Amino acid sequence: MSGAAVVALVYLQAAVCLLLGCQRMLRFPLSERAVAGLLSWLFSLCFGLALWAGLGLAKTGPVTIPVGRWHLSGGFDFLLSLHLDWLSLPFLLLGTALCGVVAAFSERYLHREPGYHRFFFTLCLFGLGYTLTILGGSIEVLYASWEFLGLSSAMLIGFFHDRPAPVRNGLYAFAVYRICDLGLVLASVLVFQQFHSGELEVWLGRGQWPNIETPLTPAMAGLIGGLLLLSAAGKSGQWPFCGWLPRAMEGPTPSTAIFYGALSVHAGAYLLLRCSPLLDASPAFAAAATLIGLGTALTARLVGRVQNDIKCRLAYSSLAQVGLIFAEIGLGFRWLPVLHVLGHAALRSVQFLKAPSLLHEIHELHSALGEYHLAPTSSQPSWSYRFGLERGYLDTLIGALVLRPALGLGKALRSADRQVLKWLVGPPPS
Amino acid sequence: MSLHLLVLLLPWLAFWRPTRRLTLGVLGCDLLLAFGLLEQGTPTADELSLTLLPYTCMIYLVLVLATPLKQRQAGSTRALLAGLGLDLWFFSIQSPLWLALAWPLTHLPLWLQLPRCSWTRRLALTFWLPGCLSFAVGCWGYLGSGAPPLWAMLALLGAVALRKAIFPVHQWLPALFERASLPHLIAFCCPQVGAYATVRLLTAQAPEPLLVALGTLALFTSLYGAILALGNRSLRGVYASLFMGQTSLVYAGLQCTTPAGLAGGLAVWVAGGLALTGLGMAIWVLEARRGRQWLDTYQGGYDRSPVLAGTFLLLGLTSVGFPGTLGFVSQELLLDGTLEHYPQVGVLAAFTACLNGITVMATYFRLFCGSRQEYGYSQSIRRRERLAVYMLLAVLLGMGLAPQNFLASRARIANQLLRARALLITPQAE
Repeated sequence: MSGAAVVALVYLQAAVCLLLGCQRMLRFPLSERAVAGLLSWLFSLCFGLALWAGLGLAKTGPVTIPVGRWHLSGGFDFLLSLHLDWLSLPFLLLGTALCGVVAAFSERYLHREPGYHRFFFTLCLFGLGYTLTILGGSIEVLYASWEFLGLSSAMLIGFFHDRPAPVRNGLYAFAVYRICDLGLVLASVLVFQQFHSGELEVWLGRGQWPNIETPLTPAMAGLIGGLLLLSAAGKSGQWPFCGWLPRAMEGPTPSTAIFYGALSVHAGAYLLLRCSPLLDASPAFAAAATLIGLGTALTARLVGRVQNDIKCRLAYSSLAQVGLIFAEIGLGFRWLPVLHVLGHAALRSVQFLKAPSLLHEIHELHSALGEYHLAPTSSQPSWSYRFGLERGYLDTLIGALVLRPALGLGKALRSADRQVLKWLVGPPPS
Repeated sequence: MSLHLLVLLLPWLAFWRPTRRLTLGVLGCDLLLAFGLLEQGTPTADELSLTLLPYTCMIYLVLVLATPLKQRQAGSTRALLAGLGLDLWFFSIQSPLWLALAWPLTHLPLWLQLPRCSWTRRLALTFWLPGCLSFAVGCWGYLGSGAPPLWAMLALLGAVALRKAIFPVHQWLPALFERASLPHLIAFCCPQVGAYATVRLLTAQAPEPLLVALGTLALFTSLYGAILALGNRSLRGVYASLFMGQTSLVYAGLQCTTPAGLAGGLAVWVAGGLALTGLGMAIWVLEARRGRQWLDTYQGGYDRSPVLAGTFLLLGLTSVGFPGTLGFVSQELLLDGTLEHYPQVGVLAAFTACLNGITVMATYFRLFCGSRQEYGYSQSIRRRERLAVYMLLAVLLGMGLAPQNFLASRARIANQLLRARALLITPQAE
């Protein structure tokens, strides 16, 4: 029962995604109302299917649903399978419910916006990516859906793409995702080397989550765990990748709410929870997760206090909470972080969705009572104030240590190539 | 007349009167016949040759379909037809003598289309002439009975490096992309004649250190190309660097003497070739509307050409192995197949794909977003261009979702090559 519901849920999302993606290419544009209605109904239906799957889960216990074999080549077996257990169910319910709420909210919020259809297509792509991340039964499904999350996230940050700033920030987020996703790619390759299969039950172990024991050695568990931690930290904006989250606030409010307040920002926490057998097997991995989480929480607290923009402040609050969730996971808690994620995601998305109305109300209040400004009164020492204003110097560090050297190297190589050509063929005509 | 001969001769049918309709008809028929030949099989060609015939036909068909109105000239179409005829012939040959004869001829169609400016021709001559001579010398060493001498293999290695633009003799490729006709250059590069010569003459017989040397150089080229693309201000320069980076991975796979690694290299050959053809076509279509593009400012114009923008992004991501596409499964197989014996390939290939992904996204944003610039004329893509895009996307996405047959065919070819290698190398060792 739960298997059929889960497969139907994924196929439905994929079908709607394909329909929305092709409508412009095949020249049959749907109306605004039709698109928003379609998405609201889709996610409502998906929520219903997720509930149904949950009822089935109570009867049958965790299930792995083989959807088909992607390919079998070179001795490597790539299976497409979905996995539903007590960890994936709450995340699935949360995801479908919030996607539905945001689709309904956006129908009016983005009315007559030039990128209306594009927004809903990207939301649908994100919904599909999120569902597959949560339900992925193998590491390659997890990786593929992880990339969809990253792509849809970057596209929505750059949604208002007639302005350079959102586009630049979208690119920044995409670059961080892409570099951090290297961890997941290499982890997937290592898993295939060890087991010739990427099935979660094969490399994480069988049993009822969280009481699972991995067959990996502690050293290998630590190595794979470290790589997964890199991906998780990138997706959740953890230290040292905190810089992209406040930049992501350039996107439209509904996408900010669902991506950076609720679902996308917690995807890293989900990945760590899913890989909890590795955390149990490798104390070094657990310690790294804890330290990164605590470091992020501290940084976000210091930086968030001096932000003067409501969305940035909320973003840093999110980061601090997600940092605490990482620390909880690293310290060995399993159900507490799940509850923390559910509560935090619900609260934060409401806050983000409410933020524009709140500003509107404050402006109305100002026009009624006269504008006033409160001078910032803070007992913060000056070094922490500067640290906060510079956003923890992380962007500066990444720029100085990674970005500028990489661009400089590209420039130097191009110049070297030109010199070689000049020497071999002579100077090119202007 | 055998079907194989018909496939080889058909492109020449339109050579004397290359009207657009006749050319498209001939290329379409040739593609269908090549697929028929692949299905039916023939004693005159093995599976490697048979799979390369429809692949090459598709590249040329896409290029002719995408030819803008103002660039339709008899000479240009003739060069494409001649290029197709010669490439099909080259991919059908197994004898070193005939390969030596066909190798310089495959340069002719592009050579005749190069601008008459002496610098461009001098550039091509500086790199191609030593390549052709080196190839002829290498093939001469293969003519005697018994194992080919080491100098012959080294000469072939040099020829392949010059043709493929492998570091340190890669400088001609970005320079030529800046100056030559884009479709003719794509037709010259994307079928990857050098890879075919490598498989036929080196993979089967060369000692492992020589193959590893080729693979290492290719891998370095791949990383070099990815860095070269970072911050490049010219769209064509970015494309050339991406091309260099992604197609070098083929050689990193061809160095492998494991079935999975070799199959991965063969898969990346076709997947990367088709996707880069599509990306090149998208750039060409864009240039036909806006002129030469530079990436130092945001161009904007997404709203005027959403399909073209989507096509550019999709094909760009396909060419760097984004999940859900043929490029993804091919690179995944390459990574998994090479990590055990050649871990550096897996790590560097993943890093290259990561950098190239960022470059594609940055280029997309620069070309289509970030500015409110209005173009006073239509930028939508035409029916024939649309057809070319749909054809490529159907292949790349369809085979990406259901890659079993394609990858099984690559695995069979890899096994055949390794069996032939075992037969040829073992007596030498004895």
